[in-house]
Amino acid sequence: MKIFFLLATIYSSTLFAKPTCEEAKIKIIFDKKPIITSEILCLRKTAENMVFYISETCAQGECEVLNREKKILEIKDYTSTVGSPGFKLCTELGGVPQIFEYSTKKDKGKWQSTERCLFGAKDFVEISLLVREWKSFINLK
Amino acid sequence: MSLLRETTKVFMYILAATILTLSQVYADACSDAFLNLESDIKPLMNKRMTSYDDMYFFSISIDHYRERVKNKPCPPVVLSKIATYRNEIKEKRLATITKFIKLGIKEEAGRDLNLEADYLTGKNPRAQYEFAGAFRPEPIVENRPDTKPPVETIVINPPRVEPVIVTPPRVEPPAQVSDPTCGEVLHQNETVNLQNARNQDSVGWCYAYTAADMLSFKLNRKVSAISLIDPPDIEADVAIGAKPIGGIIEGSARKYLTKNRGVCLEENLPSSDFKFCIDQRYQDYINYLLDLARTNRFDQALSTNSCLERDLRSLFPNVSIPQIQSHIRQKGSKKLIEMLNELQCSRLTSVNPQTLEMETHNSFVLSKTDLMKHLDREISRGVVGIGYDYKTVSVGSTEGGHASLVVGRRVNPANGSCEYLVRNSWGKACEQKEDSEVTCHKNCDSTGCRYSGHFWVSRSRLTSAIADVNYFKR
Repeated sequence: MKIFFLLATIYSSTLFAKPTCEEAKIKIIFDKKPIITSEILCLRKTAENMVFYISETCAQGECEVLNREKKILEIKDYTSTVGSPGFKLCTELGGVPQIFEYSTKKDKGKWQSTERCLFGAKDFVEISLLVREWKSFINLK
Repeated sequence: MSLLRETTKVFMYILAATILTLSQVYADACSDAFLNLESDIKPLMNKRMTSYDDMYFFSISIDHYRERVKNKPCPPVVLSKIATYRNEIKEKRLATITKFIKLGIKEEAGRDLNLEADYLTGKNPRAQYEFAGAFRPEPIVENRPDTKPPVETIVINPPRVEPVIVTPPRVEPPAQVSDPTCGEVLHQNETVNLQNARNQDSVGWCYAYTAADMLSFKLNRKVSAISLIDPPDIEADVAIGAKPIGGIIEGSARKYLTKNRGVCLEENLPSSDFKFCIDQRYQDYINYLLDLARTNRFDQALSTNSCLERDLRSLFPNVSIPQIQSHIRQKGSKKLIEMLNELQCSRLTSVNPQTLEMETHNSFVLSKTDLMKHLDREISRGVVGIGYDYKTVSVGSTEGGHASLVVGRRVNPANGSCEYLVRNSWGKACEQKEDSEVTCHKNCDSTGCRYSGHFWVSRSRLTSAIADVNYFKR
């Protein structure tokens, strides 16, 4: 019986791993106190070895913004130095920008901050990924 | 004896079952791998346009399929379907590139679209495509293991190609040139480092963020950026569509320290470490608050909008509702945000202002070359705040005056020129138009690389753009 279980374990371990998603801690400050929640952050990797955080729904290919057909964007004052351009892009694409702090296992308790663009309750994409995707399509005139 | 016989029987049964399972697994390897491939690429096939990233995902899906089948022969019907998918994705990508080029877009994700189109159409037989592996056909093998399988001849491009790289060519690093004015230096500490570039959100207070970073680095405590804003009237400054007045790095720090003899920390007056009840931009929330005060609807909104009090406690936890109501009754929206910031920063971290005195030089008095001399001297000692014309640094931008912090300097390993590491206040994205003189900095580890919100700019480009330099006297 022991041999059977061992063989079954070996066979099941040949199943492929899922995309890289992990549970991360998210920190927000409310009333001067940190509130820690948890959320799934998924890593999207590009051909140039750049990695960006996206939601689980986006990692499953279900979020509209990453499947959206690209077109020229006219964003008023995009390159004006008033405010972060990435925030303007996020707003133009119909999202809401949010700065947040997170910590994953590899951060070993250290908090990192980044910005994401929220689309509804579940979808989000790191703003640096949106900028990378859409930069060439923004009319700077 | 009988126990030994029984044990042997059980062992033989288990072994037979394993062999049977494994042989079945082998036979199903192709169909499983193909089903997985189809599932992976189905979203790509359903899209109307095919992006560069889609081509990358197609390429790695093909790689995964090959890993699963491990060069074992798969039936012709499977290979024929894969060939169909290849042709389909190629046609979709070509259609997408044609559309982009018609719109005047010449590159995507840093790749030249014309070169990619030339490869995919076979127009440039010398081109080597970075995803060429995905279009390399698998061999078709009939079900006769004792004969050599014929090679499937689905050819997209002529078989002999000269390796001309489609992606930007690698530049061999030149021999190291010794430049005594370009000693390598990088300033970072626990509070100001390459992992935590700030984000000024939706407001035009770059000078305050830069001044806050300078003070934070010096004190190794995170100073509130918002505490240092210095417009004559915040209400006018944040109004939607208004052109902000701007400010001066050294001036904003000096005024605050002279008045208060201490600094307000980020933990007391957050510039971005808060979360709104309903996610929105900082500028929008402040304008909402001002509008309520201006139109005398603050009390009404308190009872109807449950998020209002919650957000006030998030942004201004030291300020009570009665204090806000009292101000609005007497002055309406006038200086409301100033009052909130001041009350929030009632408890300051005391400092010796003399140790935080800054020196500043600008292009009204000095030439740009002289300003750069100050920068080169001072960056060896510590961080330097700069005012500069952003559209000169990032070619193609439309607006100019910006402030950032120079935290490093080095000789560019690719071209030997001197360049400076600039810490921006727009978060982590690579907002700059990268070229031979401006590149976005990345933090890399075993998982990959992430943009850090810093960028390298060449000495020549920064010299053209610089407007003022600010540094600590001691």
